Amino acid sequence: MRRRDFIAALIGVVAAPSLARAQQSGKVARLGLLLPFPAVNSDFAQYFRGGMRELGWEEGKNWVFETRAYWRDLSAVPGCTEELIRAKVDIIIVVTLQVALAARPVAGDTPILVAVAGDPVRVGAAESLAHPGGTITGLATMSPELATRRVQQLREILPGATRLALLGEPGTPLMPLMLDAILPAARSLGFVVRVFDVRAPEGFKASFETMRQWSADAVIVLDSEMFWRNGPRLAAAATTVNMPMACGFREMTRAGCLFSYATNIREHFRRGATYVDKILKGVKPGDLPFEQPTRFELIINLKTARQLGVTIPDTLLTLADEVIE
Amino acid sequence: MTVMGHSEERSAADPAGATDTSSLDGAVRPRRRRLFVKYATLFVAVVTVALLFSGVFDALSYYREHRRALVRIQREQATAAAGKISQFITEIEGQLGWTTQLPWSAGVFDQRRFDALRLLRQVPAVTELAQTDATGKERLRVSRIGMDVIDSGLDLSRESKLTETVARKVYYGPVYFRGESEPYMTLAVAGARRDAGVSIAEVNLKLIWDVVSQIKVGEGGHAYVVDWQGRLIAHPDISQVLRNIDVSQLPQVRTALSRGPRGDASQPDTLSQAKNLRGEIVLTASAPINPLGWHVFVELPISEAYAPLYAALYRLGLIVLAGLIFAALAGMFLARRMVGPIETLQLGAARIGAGDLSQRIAVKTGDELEALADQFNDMAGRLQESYADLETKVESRTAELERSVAELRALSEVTRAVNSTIDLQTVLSTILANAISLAGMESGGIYVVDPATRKLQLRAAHGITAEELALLRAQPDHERHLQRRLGKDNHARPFNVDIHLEPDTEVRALLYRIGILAPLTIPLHDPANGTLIGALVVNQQAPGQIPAETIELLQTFAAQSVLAIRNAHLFAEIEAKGRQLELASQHKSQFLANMSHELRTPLNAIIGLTEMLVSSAAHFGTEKASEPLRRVHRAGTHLLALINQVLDLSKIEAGKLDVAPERVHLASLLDDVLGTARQLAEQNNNSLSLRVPEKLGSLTVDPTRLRQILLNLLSNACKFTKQGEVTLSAGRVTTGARDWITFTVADTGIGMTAQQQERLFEDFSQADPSTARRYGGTGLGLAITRRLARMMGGDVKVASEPGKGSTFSVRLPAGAGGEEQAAEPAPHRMSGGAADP
Repeated sequence: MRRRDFIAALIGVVAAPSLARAQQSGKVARLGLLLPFPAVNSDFAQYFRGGMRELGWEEGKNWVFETRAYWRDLSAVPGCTEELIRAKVDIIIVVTLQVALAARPVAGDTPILVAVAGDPVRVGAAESLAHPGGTITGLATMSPELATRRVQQLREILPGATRLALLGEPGTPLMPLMLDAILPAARSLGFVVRVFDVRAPEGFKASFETMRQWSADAVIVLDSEMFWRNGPRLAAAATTVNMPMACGFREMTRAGCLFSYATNIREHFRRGATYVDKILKGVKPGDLPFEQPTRFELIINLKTARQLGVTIPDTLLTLADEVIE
Repeated sequence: MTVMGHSEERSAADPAGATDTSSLDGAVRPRRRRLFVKYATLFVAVVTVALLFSGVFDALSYYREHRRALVRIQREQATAAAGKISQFITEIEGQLGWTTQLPWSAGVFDQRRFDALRLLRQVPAVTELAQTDATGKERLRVSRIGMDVIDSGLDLSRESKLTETVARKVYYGPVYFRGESEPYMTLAVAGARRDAGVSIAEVNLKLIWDVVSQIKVGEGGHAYVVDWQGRLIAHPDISQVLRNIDVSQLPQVRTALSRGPRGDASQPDTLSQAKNLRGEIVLTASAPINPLGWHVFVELPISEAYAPLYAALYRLGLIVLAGLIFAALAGMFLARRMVGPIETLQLGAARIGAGDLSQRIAVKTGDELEALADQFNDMAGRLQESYADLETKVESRTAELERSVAELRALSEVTRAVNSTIDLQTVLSTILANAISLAGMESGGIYVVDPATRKLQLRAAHGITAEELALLRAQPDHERHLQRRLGKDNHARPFNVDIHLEPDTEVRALLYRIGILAPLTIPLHDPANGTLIGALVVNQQAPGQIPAETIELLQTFAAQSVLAIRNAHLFAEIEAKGRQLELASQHKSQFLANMSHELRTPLNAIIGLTEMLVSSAAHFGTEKASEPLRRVHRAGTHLLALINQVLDLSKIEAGKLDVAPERVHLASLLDDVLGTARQLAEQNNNSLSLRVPEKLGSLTVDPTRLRQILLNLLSNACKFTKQGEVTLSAGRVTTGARDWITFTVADTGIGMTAQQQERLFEDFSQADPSTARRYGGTGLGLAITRRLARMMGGDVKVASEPGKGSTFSVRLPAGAGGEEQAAEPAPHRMSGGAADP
């Protein structure tokens, strides 16, 4: 977390309520934003703002953010949620299903919008994609399905690799689902697989050291908000052990990951605005289907490939949506 | 009087004075309004009808056009949308075609895989692509969301999608929903060459959103796509699609689907109004998407669709309204222009009609109205002239009338005075006052010739103070002066004297002093013999000729004065004669009373002595002369009764008989009377009976007079009845509001004829002159009886027939008057002493 972001967020948090009070005369929607860190001016928040603008909403005029940070401590989520409820927010926006599930018991009837949901049906956040039925809705990522494709792509890049490490953040609801998908796929492609856990960025280096000791040929990072946010640090750790790394977010590839095949979660935030729009217009979250992604991006970091001494096959490069030189 | 008359005349001649103009306006205004309103309304109505007609026509035609345009636009949009979606599918189809270019051979496999992956990259809608070889075996399957599968060995040759594809080169599968949320369709294309196999793509129809959301239908409208089963495939609101909704219940969808999956593409269905998914009313049109059998619907909220129509209608309404307002203003202006002169004309005519003849109508329109106004003005002028003439005539006539009325009034007053009083002083004062006031003089007097002294005396004066009057009275010379002037001439004319020209005498000085400067004297003559009986003198303020009417008027009053004076003289004469008559009557009564008294004294002696000579004949030795003595006695007694009755009658006549009522017990009184009468009855052998009801009570009456009445009647009855019956009865009778006591004396005697009855109650009258000889009697009894009965407030009546007897009945009031006096019996008796029977 950069100091500048922090200060900006702080200003945002402080300024938002007063702004809201100033706008009290008209109906001003209050959007609760529950984040691991105060990041009200982060890229994603900006994408969300863009989405809102496209739909005709003006921040500060007819909607405001009410931001709370749980500081990566899931146990703090209910407390933060309560605060948001007390602040009379119309909707609570969270990034992951994990947080949504933690907030749900406290939030009561207040709709919860998940920007990046792995598999809401299987983790019990929704009855079905078409009819979530509860208070949680949002945008699904199809992370497990995409992860299998990542294994195949890794196999194309490293035809001789045998040992595949999987790095996951234990406790996230998505991790078992991803493992369920990846393990058979990896085995079918001739990989020996081992799962490595890490709970905090501080453990990255140690984890990669362990992988090297296991002589892993490559690593696939399972989707997690923590990894997403700590992409550079993760990439740095991978670089120290010269480990090809595949991941689920294009931001991580930009930070130094070898490649990623995933949805563009910036789009998730932008489209999240359409959900907010509908909910504010009275549609029940239970009636709003979880949207599944249709566009998947293959991003390849050639710089990292060169550092690793890996040659990316031309076919793959041709199919890549973005190549980072 | 004069002032009042003038004001009446004014108000009668000029009713349309300044004060009356308001009421005149009030009467005129409603009529004016009616004409004005009529004109204005007519104008407005004409314009309104025209405006409304054109407005409604415009609105209707505009409405039709707008609707037609909407229909056309929506159909075009639907057709265009159908084309775009069709194109979307066709493009995928085309892309798929590229993947089936190469035949399946060993070297070609990697190339085909790469092509397939590239297809996935280029066509985002295709989520999965499978390829079979000519035998129908699946050789390759690539997916965006899963691992590539190579030579799975799946045999698809039996599946319909493959057989159909092979047969028709292309296959469009039914829409299905992945995860029950995302709409998918299987699209398969067979290669041009048989050995190239078939490409089977799973197409994510959600991406039609890209097409559908680009279709703009107005501001709030949109397009959506429904498959042939009625499932929503594409909608700008993607969440509607993801909900996997069956919309076949919407009427517009049902209608479109009923045309079949392969509806006539050239003829999209007609525009209709229906509710959409959100329950809003929309205008909607649909077009089939070939060859898929889907339908695209475009819909536009009705409010938006008709917004321009409503705006146009609103504008049209405003224009019509503005037109109406303008028409109303113009109508009012024109009506005012038209009605204004008429109104002026009418108001002027009304004023002229109401009598304001000085009114002139100012209408300068230069047309018939102006001519009419000029004619009115002429008419008013003529009328005004003739009115002025008439007015002067009426004025003089009215003055005359007034004078006559005043004269009549004065005369009537005088006449009233003459008739109502015989006091000459009052009458003359009244005449004088009226004469002076009417003649417009100041003062005057009436002189009367004293019949005794033949000298003129001032009897009435007017307009002269008491002091001046005293001065005049103290100067008898002026009377003599006047008498000299009048002279002895019985036919003196009224004359006028100018005091200035008179010789300077004391009288002249006095007249000067009083202010009598030009007295006008009107001699008063007795019309019977022309004798001068007085003079009416009025004083003019200044000497001069007196108008003939005044003299005439004064002569009328003079005549009245003559009348009054004559009346006074006649009355004085009558009064003197009356006094003489009274004196004579008194002498007669005195004489009668004296004579009666003088006659009764010797007669009493004669009766007494003859009685004595008869009753004591033995003592006086007059037995032989007893019969003649009895006759003497009888004749004396008769004479005494006659004298008594004459005395009574004379007393009654002289008004000297008075009644002294007292409370009398009737039964005992009647018994008493009957006892007295029994003697009379026995003389002619008559039976006498009394019929009195029980409790007859008492009566307040003069008992002596009642007894006299009853005895008179009873003696008459006994006298004219021989060996018959005489009955006295009494009773109470009520007639009207009064109570009476009636006494009836009935006999069975000779009776009377009607003629006899008529004269019965006259003095000295009997039924027949001969009866007196046969029955005796004075003929005064019944006259006295009637007088007595009437004095007591009652009367006497008779009912009789010859030979059948007579019934006399007396009735006396039994009223309260008698009862009151019962407590205080007769305060005084008649002055002439008690009446004897």
